[in-house]
Amino acid sequence: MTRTIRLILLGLSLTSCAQLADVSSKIAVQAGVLSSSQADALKRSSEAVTKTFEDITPSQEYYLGRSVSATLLSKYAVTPHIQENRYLNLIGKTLVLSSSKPETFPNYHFLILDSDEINAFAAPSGFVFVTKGMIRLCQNEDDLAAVLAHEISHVLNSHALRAIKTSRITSALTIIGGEGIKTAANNSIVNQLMGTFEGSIDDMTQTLTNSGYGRSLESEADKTAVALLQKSGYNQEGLVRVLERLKAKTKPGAKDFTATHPDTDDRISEVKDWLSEGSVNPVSALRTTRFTRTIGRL
Amino acid sequence: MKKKLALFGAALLLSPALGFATSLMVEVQQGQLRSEPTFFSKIITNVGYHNSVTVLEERGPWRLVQFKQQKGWMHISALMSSNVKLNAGLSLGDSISSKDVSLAGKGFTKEVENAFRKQHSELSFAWVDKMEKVKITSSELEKFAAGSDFSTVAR
Repeated sequence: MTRTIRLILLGLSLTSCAQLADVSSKIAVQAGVLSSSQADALKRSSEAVTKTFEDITPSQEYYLGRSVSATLLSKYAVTPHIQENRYLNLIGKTLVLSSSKPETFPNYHFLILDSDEINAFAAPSGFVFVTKGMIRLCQNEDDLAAVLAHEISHVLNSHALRAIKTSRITSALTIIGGEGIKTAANNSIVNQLMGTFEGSIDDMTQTLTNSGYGRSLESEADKTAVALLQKSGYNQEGLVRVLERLKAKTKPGAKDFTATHPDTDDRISEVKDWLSEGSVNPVSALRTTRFTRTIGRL
Repeated sequence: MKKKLALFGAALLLSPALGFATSLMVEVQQGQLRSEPTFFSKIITNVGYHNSVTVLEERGPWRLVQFKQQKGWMHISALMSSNVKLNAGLSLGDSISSKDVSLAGKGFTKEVENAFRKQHSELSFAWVDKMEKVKITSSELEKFAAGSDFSTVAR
């Protein structure tokens, strides 16, 4: 009996989908392993768990990412630095090729914000923004790659989506899963979803620009960034160098990167610990020359 | 014994991770079928969002798939998602697939974005659109990577 229960649990654990849990429990009932009430409880529990950011499909993440980006871009000016932006995209796309998710719905896109503020943002689906102030903090391509790797890591770990209140996701799923809905173009449905969409954009934008992700998610982004830099061939110490310069340049209480990120000393110490565990790629003079030539005068 | 076999079968069927699912849907705007399991290989054809492909072989994060009459390699990140896991369970019965299909293309869509934009005329999507138009080709990226001095041995 224990083995049979293990098999059911295996089936359940290998998927997060409530619908599949439903099928599993039905099979278990037919086999006489679970009672109907136990199966119902299992299904209810599974449904509750799956109404999270993980239920947001890639195409929905894309539309959320576009609107979060538009909201960020209403706060920052952009000038068409065509060559510089292409260079930023080349570094970013080189990094994502070494990631677990090299392709997102629209693919990754990178843009320089025309601001002296030292900051960088990542919106869902791979829209990444870096201010001129942040680029000026970088002394070579490896430093800039470290900044991008940290932001890409927020995308890889769905951090912005996690900022959406669970109640909004539940509400959206209830609306789209409702009986008798024939088309998403139905005005009433669109208006209901727009309210949830608007709230979700607000949750994410507030987190990105005001409250920050918090220590745990920033730490996760730093750790993923170190792995990404290591795998792609960039010097992982760039993250430490950028954090040290951030610490020297920014003032406590300023409305920039420091306002939305945990204590820099703690982050530096943690990153150094991870670096001590493995090999470190060297900085390349060739890449530094390319950086200075392309983006060094911003 | 029969019960155990049935349960084991169910556990396996419910696991797309174990490779028993043979049909997956493309979950990116434009997926690419490539000649080799690498992003720098030749693109055979493009496969649009929500088209179904048949998995023929697995090699790391790459899948050799068939789309219509053509075969090529696609990265798993263009195929796998929580939603696609449902699609992978097509063989489990119509109730699952039809529900999933009914949810596809709903939720936060272009129509919802348009409604949001009407409410927020202060927001400009012009630069978001411009961002998306910046295309980096595989050959550009390969050339950039090749000239990046990544081959230096890690110390």
